[in-house]
Amino acid sequence: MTSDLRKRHLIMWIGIIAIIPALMVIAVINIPNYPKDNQLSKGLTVNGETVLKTVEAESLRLRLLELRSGTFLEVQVLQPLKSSSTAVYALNNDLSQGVFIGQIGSKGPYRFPAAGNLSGISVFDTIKEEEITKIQF
Amino acid sequence: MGLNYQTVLWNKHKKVYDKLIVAFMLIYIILFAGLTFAFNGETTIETLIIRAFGTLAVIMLHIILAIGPLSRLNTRFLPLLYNRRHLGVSMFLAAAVHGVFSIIQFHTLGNVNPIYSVFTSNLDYNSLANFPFQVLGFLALIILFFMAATSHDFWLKNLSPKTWKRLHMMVYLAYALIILHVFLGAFQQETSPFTIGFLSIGFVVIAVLHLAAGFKERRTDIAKAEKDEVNWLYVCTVDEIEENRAKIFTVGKERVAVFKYEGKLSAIHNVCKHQGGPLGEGKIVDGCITCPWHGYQYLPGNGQSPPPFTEKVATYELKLAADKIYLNPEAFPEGTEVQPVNC
Repeated sequence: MTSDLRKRHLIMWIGIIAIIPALMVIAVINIPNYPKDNQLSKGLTVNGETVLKTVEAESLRLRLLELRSGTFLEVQVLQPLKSSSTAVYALNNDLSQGVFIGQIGSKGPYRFPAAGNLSGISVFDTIKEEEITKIQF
Repeated sequence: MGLNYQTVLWNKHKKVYDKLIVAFMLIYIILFAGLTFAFNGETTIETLIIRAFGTLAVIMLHIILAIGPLSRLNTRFLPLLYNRRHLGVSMFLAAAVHGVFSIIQFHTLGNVNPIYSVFTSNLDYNSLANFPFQVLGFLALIILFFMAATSHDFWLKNLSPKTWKRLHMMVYLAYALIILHVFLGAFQQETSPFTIGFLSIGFVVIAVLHLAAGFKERRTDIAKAEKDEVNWLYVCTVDEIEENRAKIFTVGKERVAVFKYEGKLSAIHNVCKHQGGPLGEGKIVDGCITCPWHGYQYLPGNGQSPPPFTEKVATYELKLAADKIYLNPEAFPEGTEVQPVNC
């Protein structure tokens, strides 16, 4: 390589090192903090739980549960989802998308803290940025 | 080095390297699929392909980017540099599988052109958690496509080495786009610190290697030489150069390779006409200076490639005082015959 080319390589790498790590750190800091309870739960039956509402649609079974620690929405994914990144939002009374509840993925049950008056959910494809379905209790 | 263009320039060594590349890719994909089905059996085949080829391409890109600086820091890595082009094309193919399957999976079910959909389905450029990361990956794939498509010597010759090199230096931009594509995309749904840590460590390793190699070269470039009474530059003593090897010496902004062979000394410009390889890091094979990068050859006495090849580099005049080698900093025109100095 010529000295100009070597210099250009060095300058490019100094530029990359100056910019990219900062963006990497900002990206990691901004990773959404989903509720810790959105992990796959080990069992569906918990002593002392009361099922407030239940519905099954679009390969999803929803249960609104009253537990000692509060109200929880249980989403059981019955069939693998077609979307690779799927978020669950509360449904407002006018059926518009409400607050973010959590993220669901592979087949299985998920539990999220939820309001006792939850009327339904909006299932949202976060990559295509489009609603997959609405499910009402 | 070949007189006529061939679709793929294979030789015994390249065939071995290519088999290793194919074996590595196959083993990685099989392992990835096996582990995915073992720990996440509900994963669809499309998602598996997207993830397996995406991660494979990222790993291969890191290996490719490490080869250059490693070769600058230690000549034992030069054989990897010799075959880097095939590794680059293979990496593009892996990235292309990832890109094509992603576009099919996420953008072909709508009523708009899938490519248009990549750029318009998400316009949330103000959000980090929801940034349109697919656009970054798509742009990186376009750069990698042009690099793979022009990787053949036909394009190197017809675009000119300068333009070709500029185009291929865009791999650094592609790398930056890919890092951001992963951090703003897959990692926004990531809960494991290991995958984030793994890519972060990869970036640090590549960056440190490039900086180390860059500053090493910079020290050589700014080294000042001692002059004699007629302004010839002191290079080194004869004993400091191994037989059939060279001492690389900086003259102004250029580098010169002073070769010792068969009891003689000759000096030529250090930059190979093919891809700018460092001729002084090569050795004399069959009487010809042989570039360590791709095997281009030059005669030490006149800097010309042996017939029927036509490449030629500048030559320099040398003189000996006791066992000290001095070099005239004024270069002769490319291909000028210069009488070797006996030593």
